[in-house]
Amino acid sequence: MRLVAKKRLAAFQLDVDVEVGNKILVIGPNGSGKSTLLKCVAGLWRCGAGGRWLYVPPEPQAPKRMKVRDYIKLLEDALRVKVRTDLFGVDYLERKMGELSSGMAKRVMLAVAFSTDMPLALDEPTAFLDAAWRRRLLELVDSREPVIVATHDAELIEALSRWDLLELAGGRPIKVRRSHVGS
Amino acid sequence: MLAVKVYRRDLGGMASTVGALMLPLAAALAALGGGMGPTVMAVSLLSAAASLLGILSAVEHVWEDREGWIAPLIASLGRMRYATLRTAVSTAVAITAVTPASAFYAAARPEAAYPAAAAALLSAAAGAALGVLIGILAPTRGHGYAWGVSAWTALALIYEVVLTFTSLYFPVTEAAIAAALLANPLTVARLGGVAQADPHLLTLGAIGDYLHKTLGPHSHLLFPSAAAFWILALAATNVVATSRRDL
Repeated sequence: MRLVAKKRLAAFQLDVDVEVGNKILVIGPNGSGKSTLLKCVAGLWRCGAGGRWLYVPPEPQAPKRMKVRDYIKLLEDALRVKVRTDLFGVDYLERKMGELSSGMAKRVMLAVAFSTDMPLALDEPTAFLDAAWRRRLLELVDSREPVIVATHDAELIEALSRWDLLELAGGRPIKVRRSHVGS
Repeated sequence: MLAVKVYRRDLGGMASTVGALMLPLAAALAALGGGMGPTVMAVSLLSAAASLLGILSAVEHVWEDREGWIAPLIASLGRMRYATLRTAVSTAVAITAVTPASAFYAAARPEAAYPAAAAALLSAAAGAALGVLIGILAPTRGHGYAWGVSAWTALALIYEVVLTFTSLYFPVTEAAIAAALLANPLTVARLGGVAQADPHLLTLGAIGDYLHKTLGPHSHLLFPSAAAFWILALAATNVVATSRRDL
C-alpha cells in the first residue's frame, strides 16, 4: 500500500510518500515524526491523507471516571465489536479507569484494539507493559495485518525484523526496506 | 445504541451539577413575583445560566472524548458522524440538565412557564452547539474552558451593553440594531423566550416597535426562529471545524 502523509509542524515538516506492505515497522529518534505519521494515517491529524485505522497511543487515554466495564461497553458500541478481555487479562472490570496503573489501562486499550478487525496503528505498543504482556503483544501483533507499529523498543524491533521497515529522521524517510512479509 | 450510552455518560458530568445549582436560582427568580418585569428578568437570568451550562458542559464532553476515546470514535464513525453525534448528544444533555430548573420555575409561576422554558431550552441548545465548536477549536482543555467563559461573557453579558451604548452615541438605525441582535446566538435564544412573554416586543423599546411594525403579529416568532437557525448553523460549523482540525 501507499503511505502518504504531509504535515507542517513547528519543529519539522512530515513528508512521507512510500510504497510499503501491510506490516510496517516505523523507527527513528525522538521527534522524527513517528507518532505524527501514525496520527495522520489514522485520520486524527489532517495531513492530506488518512483512513479508518485505529490509533492506539503510547500513553493510555481514557475517561478517568468510567468503570472499565462501562468504557469497554462504550467502545464495543462505537466499534461494533465484542471485546475479548481475555486477550490481555483484563479481569478488573469493576475498577475505574482513573484508578488503574498505566500498564493496566494500556492492556484495556490493547484488548479493545486486538478484538477488532480494523487496521491498527500502534504507537509504542510495549510502553508500560511488563514482560509477560509484552510477550503476549508480540504473539498477537505478528499475526495481524494491516498494522503499523512505531517504536524505540529494541526487543520489539528485533522481533519484527521481518516486517517492512520505514526509518524516519526529521519527518522524512531515510530508509525504506521492503521485506515482502504481509505484502 | 451509541448515542444513548454517550448521553448517559455525559449527563453524569458537569451538566447535572450546574443543572442542580440552577434550582435555587429558579426558586429565587420565582420569588420575584409575576408580571412583565419580573418575568422578563427571570427569563433572562435563566437563559444566561442555561447558556453557560450548555457551553461549559459541551467543552467538557469534547475534551472527555479528545483525552479519552477520540481515536476509536474517529476510526469507527469518521469525523462528520462524530461531529454530528457530539453536537446532538451535548445539546440533548444541556437541555435535559436545565429542564428541572425551568420546570421548577414553571410550577411556581405557571403564567410564565412557556417563556421560561423557551428561553432555557433554546439557550442551553445554543450554548451547547457553541461549546462543541469551542471544544474542537481549543488546543487544550484549559483553553476550552477559558474560551468558553470568555465567549459567554462577551455574548451573554457584554454584547448588549456595548450595543446599547453604541446606539446612544452613534447614529445607528433600528434595522442595524435588530440585525446586530440577530447576529448573536445567545441573545436570540434569550429573546426567543422573552418574546413569548412580551409578544409586542415592548421590552426592546424602539427596536421592538420597529420589528413589530415590520413583521406584524408574527414578530414574536422572529427570535425563536433565529435561535433555531443559529443552533443548526453552529451544528453545521461543528462538522466543518471537526473535518479540518487535528484532534
